[in-house]
Amino acid sequence: MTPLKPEVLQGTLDLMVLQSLAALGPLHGYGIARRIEQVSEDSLKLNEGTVYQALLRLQQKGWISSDWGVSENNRRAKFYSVTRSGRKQLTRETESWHRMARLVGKILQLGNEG
Amino acid sequence: MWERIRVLISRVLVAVGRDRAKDDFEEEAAAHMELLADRFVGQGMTFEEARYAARRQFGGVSQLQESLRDELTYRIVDSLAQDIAFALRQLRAAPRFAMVVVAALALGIGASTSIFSVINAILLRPMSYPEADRLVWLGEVMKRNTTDEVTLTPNFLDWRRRNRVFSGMAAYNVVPRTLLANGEATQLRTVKASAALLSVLQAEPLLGRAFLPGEDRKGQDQVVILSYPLWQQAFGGDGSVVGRRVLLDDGAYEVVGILPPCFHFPTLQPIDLMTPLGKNEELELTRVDGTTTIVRDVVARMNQGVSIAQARAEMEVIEASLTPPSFLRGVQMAVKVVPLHERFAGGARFGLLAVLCAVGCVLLLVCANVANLMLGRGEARRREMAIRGALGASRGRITQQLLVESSVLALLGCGLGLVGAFWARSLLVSLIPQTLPGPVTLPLDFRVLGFAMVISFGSTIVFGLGPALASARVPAASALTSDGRSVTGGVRRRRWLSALACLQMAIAIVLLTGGGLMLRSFWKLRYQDLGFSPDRVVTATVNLSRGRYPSAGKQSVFIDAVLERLRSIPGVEGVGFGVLPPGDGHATNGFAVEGREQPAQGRRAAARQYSVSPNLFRMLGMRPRSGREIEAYDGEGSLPVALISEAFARSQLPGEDAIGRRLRFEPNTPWRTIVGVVPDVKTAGLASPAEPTVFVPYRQSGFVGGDGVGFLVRTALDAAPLGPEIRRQVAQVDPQQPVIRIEMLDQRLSESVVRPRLAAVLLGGFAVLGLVLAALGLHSVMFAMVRSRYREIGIRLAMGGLPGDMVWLVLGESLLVMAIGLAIGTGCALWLSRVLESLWFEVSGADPVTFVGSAMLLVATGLAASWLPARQASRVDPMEILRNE
Repeated sequence: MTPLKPEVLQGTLDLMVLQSLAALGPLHGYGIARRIEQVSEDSLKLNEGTVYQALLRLQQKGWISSDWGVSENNRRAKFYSVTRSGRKQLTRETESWHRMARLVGKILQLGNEG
Repeated sequence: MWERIRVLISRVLVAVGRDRAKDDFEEEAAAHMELLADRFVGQGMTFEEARYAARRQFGGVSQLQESLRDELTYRIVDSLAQDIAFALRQLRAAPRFAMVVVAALALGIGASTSIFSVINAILLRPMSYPEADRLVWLGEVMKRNTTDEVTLTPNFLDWRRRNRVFSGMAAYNVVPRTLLANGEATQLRTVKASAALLSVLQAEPLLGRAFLPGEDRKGQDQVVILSYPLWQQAFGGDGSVVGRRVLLDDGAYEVVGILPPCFHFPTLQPIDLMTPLGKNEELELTRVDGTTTIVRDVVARMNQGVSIAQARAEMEVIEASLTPPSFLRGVQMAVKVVPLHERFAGGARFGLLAVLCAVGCVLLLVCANVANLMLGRGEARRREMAIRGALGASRGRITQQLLVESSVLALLGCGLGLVGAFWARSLLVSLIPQTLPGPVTLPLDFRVLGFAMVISFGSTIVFGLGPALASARVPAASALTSDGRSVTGGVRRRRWLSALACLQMAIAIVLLTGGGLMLRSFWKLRYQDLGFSPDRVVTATVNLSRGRYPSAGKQSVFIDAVLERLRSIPGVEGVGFGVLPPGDGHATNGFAVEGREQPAQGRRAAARQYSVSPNLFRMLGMRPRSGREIEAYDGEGSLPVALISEAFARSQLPGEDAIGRRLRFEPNTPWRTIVGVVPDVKTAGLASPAEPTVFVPYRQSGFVGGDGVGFLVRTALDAAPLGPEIRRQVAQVDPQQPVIRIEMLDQRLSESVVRPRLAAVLLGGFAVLGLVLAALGLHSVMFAMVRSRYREIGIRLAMGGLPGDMVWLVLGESLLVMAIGLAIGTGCALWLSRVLESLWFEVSGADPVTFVGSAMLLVATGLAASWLPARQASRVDPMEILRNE
């Protein structure tokens, strides 16, 4: 997979983080980074710290919440979990992605045929 | 949309407690990187390698922190706090600069606002009725007659009935009466007014009610409405006084209402209570001689959409159709309609303009001072700005920082100015004599305060930013190297500063001459030669009520008895009864001189009439110009006589010998023979010329009551204990006749000019303020000049110049600045004082004493202000300068 362009990146990163938390439950920043790495099959070369930017944005919009907990190596770490409005947002975004994918697919198909 | 709000709130919250968010992230990042490092170690890397790789994979922490910060909070708040702290530090490092700027701002804002508020509230007294621009005053004038403007009652009644332009019309007279309460007699200024007055003015009583129309008839009018101050003072603010009766010298009245505290009658003096006009309307309308009365003031409210021109036209039509009473047949009457506030403005229009000019001048001075100081400081910080720019500060950042610095300064100055305004206001209020009418608590005029603050704030910011912005454009290199080597730049800047100082001098001279002229006017007013010496004369005002002294005979008995007793007091040199200068109001009595045609339609002159005791003028220290004084033998049975004043003789019998001629006031009264011409006595206030006056013996006069008459006692000893003694003697003659007021004649004269004195003092205050600010400005400019010429002075001294010469260098420069400023300022002052000519009393607008004195004061102050910089110049160490080259 070719690396994605940075403009697309911000929105998709937020979405990926949100999805990860919705699917896997509360995670800390490291856990989220690992999950993204896994899902994108290691093709997403970004600094892991950018995850925290996405986490901040999501937190400001009220889609995720955070709590302090203890990590695997017994350090204090912040765990993030998705909120109810976050889940709603996820559903909305998913639907809109699907719609767009269908639309683009149709256009491409038409293009191919014509 | 909801998200946007959430983001906003979150950012603001973080801005307030930002550090916690930052620390949070540091901890998170550390934990994350540790986990990463562990993973790498698990993959086989060494501890060091793992840590390094983890950091690389994570990304730059501080960079991330910066961008997080941008997201997390509003950057500006962050840098703002930084800038404020820096600004405060800078100000603390340059205390003199900060203090001078703050002082100039505070002085300018505080003093000018409070002085303006006092002048506006007390001296100018704008009318404060609802929709006051709909209110007009009406009066009748005899065509081509320039004296009094009163209205015949039947005409007023007809006006009211027949007009279609006014929603309401009311008439009123000001009447002095005495209140008898708690065994004491207090003289009051009262009003007899139509029942409709309150509704025309759209005023509601605080307690009780207004008059009913039925009460505004003779016989039904024994009701009274009290004013708020009287209610507080005489009745202790007791609400139960409504419904009770109070005793005035002309009867008992039932209190039906109390007026609110902020209500003022449309009169020149404050009024204590109000009773109905109580005219017998049917009788008045018959217009038979002897039944027609007059009312002094008529006020009306125009209907919506009616202009004053329309109202005037309508009233002229009505007036032309009215029938005058028989004694005025043949005299053409006209009606005068003027806006109410013009009638009672008390000479305000020019006064307000003058005061606003003074405030403007002071604010200009403040701005000039601020400009001066900020520009100077900007210049001194050129290097600093260049360094900042070189270190990477964007122009926006530098601008923001300067903005913050200027704002901090401006805020301090404005804050102090606000405090100063309130403090000065209470100081001024305590200085105002109680006898002046005016609001009890003086409000600060917030328009002027706001304007002053805006100007100050604005000028601080503009001048604080200006030079720094300009220097930000200068390439850093040149600013960083030579400091002051650019001679041309230095000279041009010095010229600007000197020009500023000249401007300040000019403004200061305008203020000084204005204040000086005002003070001189007041002095001349108060201490003019009145023809008599008021020393050691005690006056006792009495008000003989018509009810108890209905006839001349009874009055004479009373006056005779009192005079006798007063004469017997030890130490008394002379006693008299009659006119008490300086008086107020206008002459109103029409008269006729035998043998002189009374022009049917021409000027109907008026004169004052006073009933006096024999030899009154001798007692006051005056001698008749011709003829004799009234003597003891001019009594009831003998020939009716009169004295006339010089003004009367000049206007009525010019060039003729008045002795032996005859005159009379009312038609069908006996002719009086003129037996003497006496010097003028001022009877219409100190500011007006003496009016034609006629003096008749009290034994031969009809009624001696009214305002401004009483007993005069001259004593050889200390006058103070005389007061109670006089009261006692009068009480022994008639215990129920109160002595209204006892005061020294001197004091009476002083009190009559309370307003001009206040105006003079306040304008003088402005002048002093202007002088201080201008001196401050000159001081700063001279200091800046010395500082910028340090090298030159050092070189001069090194080349053999004397320190004394350096002093003269500075003083010479400052004298030049002052001279130019004086020239410009004096020109402006002369022009302005011609425009405001009406404010000066017997002082020419170009009075040399004032102008020369002001100039000398300014030069002296300026030299004093320049002394410190001059001394500094003489102390420059030439070695120091040369070493720094």
